[in-house]
Amino acid sequence: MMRLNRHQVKALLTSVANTCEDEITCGDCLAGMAEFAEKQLIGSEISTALKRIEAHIAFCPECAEEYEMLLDVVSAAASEAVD
Amino acid sequence: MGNRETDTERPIEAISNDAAVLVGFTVNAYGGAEMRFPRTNEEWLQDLRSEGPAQTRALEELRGYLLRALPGSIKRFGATPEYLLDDIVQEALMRILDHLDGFQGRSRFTTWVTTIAVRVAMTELRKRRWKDVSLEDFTAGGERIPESYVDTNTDPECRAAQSRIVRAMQEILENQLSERQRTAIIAEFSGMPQEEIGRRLGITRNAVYKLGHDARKKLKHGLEASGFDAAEIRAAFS
Repeated sequence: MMRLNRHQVKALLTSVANTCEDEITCGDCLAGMAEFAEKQLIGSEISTALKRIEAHIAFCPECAEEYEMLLDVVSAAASEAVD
Repeated sequence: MGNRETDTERPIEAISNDAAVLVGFTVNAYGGAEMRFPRTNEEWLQDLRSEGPAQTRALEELRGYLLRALPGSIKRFGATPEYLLDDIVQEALMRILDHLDGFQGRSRFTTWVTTIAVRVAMTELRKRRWKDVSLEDFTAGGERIPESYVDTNTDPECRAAQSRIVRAMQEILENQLSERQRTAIIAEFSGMPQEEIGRRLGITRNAVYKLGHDARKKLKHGLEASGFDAAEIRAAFS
């Protein structure tokens, strides 16, 4: 298994088990991330298309990291506007 | 401005004060919504597509917003010198201008702008963080027996299942995946960012994601053919 450790093998197998035939790419995720973030922030229901963004973020550590930072930036900018 | 609807005129009664603020509104003393940026999405696009003072003003406003908004979040990923932040914002603004047609109008323009800037920032920070790491650091050697990946805190039956699944996965990794698929998936699950894998393989981040996805599908199908379906894998490694 090359140089993967036990935890990484577990993460890989969990990811394999959750793999879907049709997943969107990081580029597709970027295109819908702003809309997804706004819907999440106001607690609005999300469409089927946005559920695919949600699924991609669950799979892709980089998009998840960027999504977290997006929420952080948008929330901080909003707080600044209030102060 | 004509008769275009502005953000301040849109009813958002259903949105709470906090939530309204988060998506780019402030709520005034009368409970009405006021936008923090003085342009609608359409006006942003019109100004940025124009040439001359309107475009310059819009770009300066976006630059100011990004320079205020990004540092607080970026610093969580390590110290970022000021010149680097300027470079990131400049690169983001160029990319935004180049990709205005990609904005579909389904969010605030400024939220979309932030997604682009965040991707530019994270790409640069990852590049700096991983600059001295090669793919071979993850993919060369290190062969271990399946039992070494078993969680010893689980019961004997679960350990036996884990061992069988790992052995089957090793077999598929070695014999059914292409060299590139194997490299991409091993490096990715070792923690290397996809864009850094792509930089070393000479392909885009999207292409790396696709390589990894194809590898995961092959592993899933191969494990199913070996008698291990998704539910069984989840149960063994939960």
